[in-house]
Amino acid sequence: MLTENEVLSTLNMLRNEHLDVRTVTLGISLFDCASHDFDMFAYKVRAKINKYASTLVRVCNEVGERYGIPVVNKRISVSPIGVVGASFSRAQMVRACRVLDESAKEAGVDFLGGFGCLVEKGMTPGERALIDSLPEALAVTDRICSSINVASSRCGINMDAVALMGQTILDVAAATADRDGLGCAKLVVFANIPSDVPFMAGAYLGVGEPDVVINVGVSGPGVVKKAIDRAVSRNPHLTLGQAAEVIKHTAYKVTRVGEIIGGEVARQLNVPFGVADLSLAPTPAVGDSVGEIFQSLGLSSIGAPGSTAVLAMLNDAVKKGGSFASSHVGGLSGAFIPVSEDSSIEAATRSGALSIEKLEALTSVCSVGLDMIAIPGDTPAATIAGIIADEMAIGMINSKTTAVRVIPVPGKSVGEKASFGGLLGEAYIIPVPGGDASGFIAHGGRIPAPIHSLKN
Amino acid sequence: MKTVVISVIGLDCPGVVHLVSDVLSTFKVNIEAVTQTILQGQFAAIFVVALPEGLDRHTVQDQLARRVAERGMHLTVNVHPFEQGSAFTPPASEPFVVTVTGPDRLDIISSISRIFADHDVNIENLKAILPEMGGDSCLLVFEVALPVSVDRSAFRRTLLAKAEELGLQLSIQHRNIFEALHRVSPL
Repeated sequence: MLTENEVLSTLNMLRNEHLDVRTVTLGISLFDCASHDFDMFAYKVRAKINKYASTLVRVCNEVGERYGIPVVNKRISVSPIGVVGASFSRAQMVRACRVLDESAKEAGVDFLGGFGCLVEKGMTPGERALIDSLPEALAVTDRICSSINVASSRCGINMDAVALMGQTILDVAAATADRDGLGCAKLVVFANIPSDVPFMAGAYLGVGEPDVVINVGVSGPGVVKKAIDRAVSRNPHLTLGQAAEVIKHTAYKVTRVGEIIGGEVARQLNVPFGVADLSLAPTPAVGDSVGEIFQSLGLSSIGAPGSTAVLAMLNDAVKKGGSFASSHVGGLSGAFIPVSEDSSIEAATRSGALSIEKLEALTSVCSVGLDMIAIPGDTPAATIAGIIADEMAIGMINSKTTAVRVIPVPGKSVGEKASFGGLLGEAYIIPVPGGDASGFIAHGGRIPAPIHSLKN
Repeated sequence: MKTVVISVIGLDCPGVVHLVSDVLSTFKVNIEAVTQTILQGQFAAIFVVALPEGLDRHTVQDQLARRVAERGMHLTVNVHPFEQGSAFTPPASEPFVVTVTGPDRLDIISSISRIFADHDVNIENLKAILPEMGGDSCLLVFEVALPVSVDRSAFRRTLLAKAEELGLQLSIQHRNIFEALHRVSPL
């Protein structure tokens, strides 16, 4: 027999607190589709994606309906195309991107990730061709996401790749200038990218992963916020230790939802269940925001002094609660702070309470990094590269994932609004740090990997 | 050995369970299963017991009634034969939870339970959570056994259509989700 509390609390989370499974992502290895013959490659890719993904959306909807928990996004991640298509030219990479886009549309998924490469130590001609293809590839496709890993704690930072990405981001924005540089919302530059990320735009299926696998991204910032609000209203003198316990217990519940849904989808598709990504992933909807949690804990908004401490506590408590709830944890696992995708964070940047410098500080204690930030369209490539280099350094030194997804909005400047649509949201353009990084970026080469003892 | 069912219902007070079990142990009657509940001060319990050879159920009922009267308890005790198998054979089914929320009205339970009856869906537990102070919305929780032969989507649509007609909010979910969220056990 269920208790009254079990029923009421579950219904409340579903009806009032935006509890859902943010994404069920089907990972499909495309290594066995590699061919020097492009048509053969395209045929094999279409056939394999169709074979495994044709029932993904239907099964996710059925399982979501069975448990009364919506699976908001159904997605696909594939092997890094920089490796699968190592022999391709720039033009062939664009065609490969189109093939993936068509397959994604056929499967009915909203995004497919993996049109990317890992170049933290160096770059093959195929990987260079892929990066060179990005402006056109991301402009002529709708559902393809790209991630480029340019740094790791074991290999250091490939500053040549960082410089290249600074310019590429500007080129991608220019190629999608009619859509406020939307292409850049589908392109992330990473340090220490995990090989099993289910969340976009970083999703891809790395080397060492199964042939086909289901990974799940949970959500639940609204549930965490409401749980804290209830605890504070019951006890206005709630200590932060008690607040952390509330977050931990709530993260357990949120993650169990992902675990049960992901497990069942995997069973029905007859593929292994990979990982649950324990992330607080916001949406632009009010009440589904990570930023609002900062206010529930007594800050005027995210960005106020104390924000880094709150985020550190939040991130850690989510991991503690989520780890126990899931059989296998992976992906990014932490709180996301994507500016345009979170109404409260976006409002804080617009009011000036939250700057890009503070966002950078926050990324040292949470998952991912500078995410979905609209910057002026005339930002120099060297400045973007400098921002990337700083963020990569945080990831490299702290042995964590960091990333940069900035959108230099063509023709727009500070204070103007950029709209990306849907879950990508909208954002007012904020200033980038002053100063000139061009001399530093021009040096190129690699920043060596850090020493892993003498931790300080 | 003969199995019988003892029902005890009436005003709740301390000592009810002791009274019944004391009489039973005096007669060397073995309690095989028991459940009890209290609703707004009313006590109800069902005991499934095995009578030893030679003991008649009427003897047990008389003795229980006498002891209840001696203690001045406001309870009715009945001892029935244990019937099996004839009325309902449970089909293979899965546990689902149907919750109905909305303004309290007279026909909610009858309307929803009619759909269950039409589909051979057995209600295994039913709880009404009535409006709190100042609220006018009640919550009904039906824990049901949904036969695997019933088309899930059609059944869901029928329930949702009825709920809409009555101005109610209804959800139907597999029971596991409620347990998964709140209980510490492997999925």
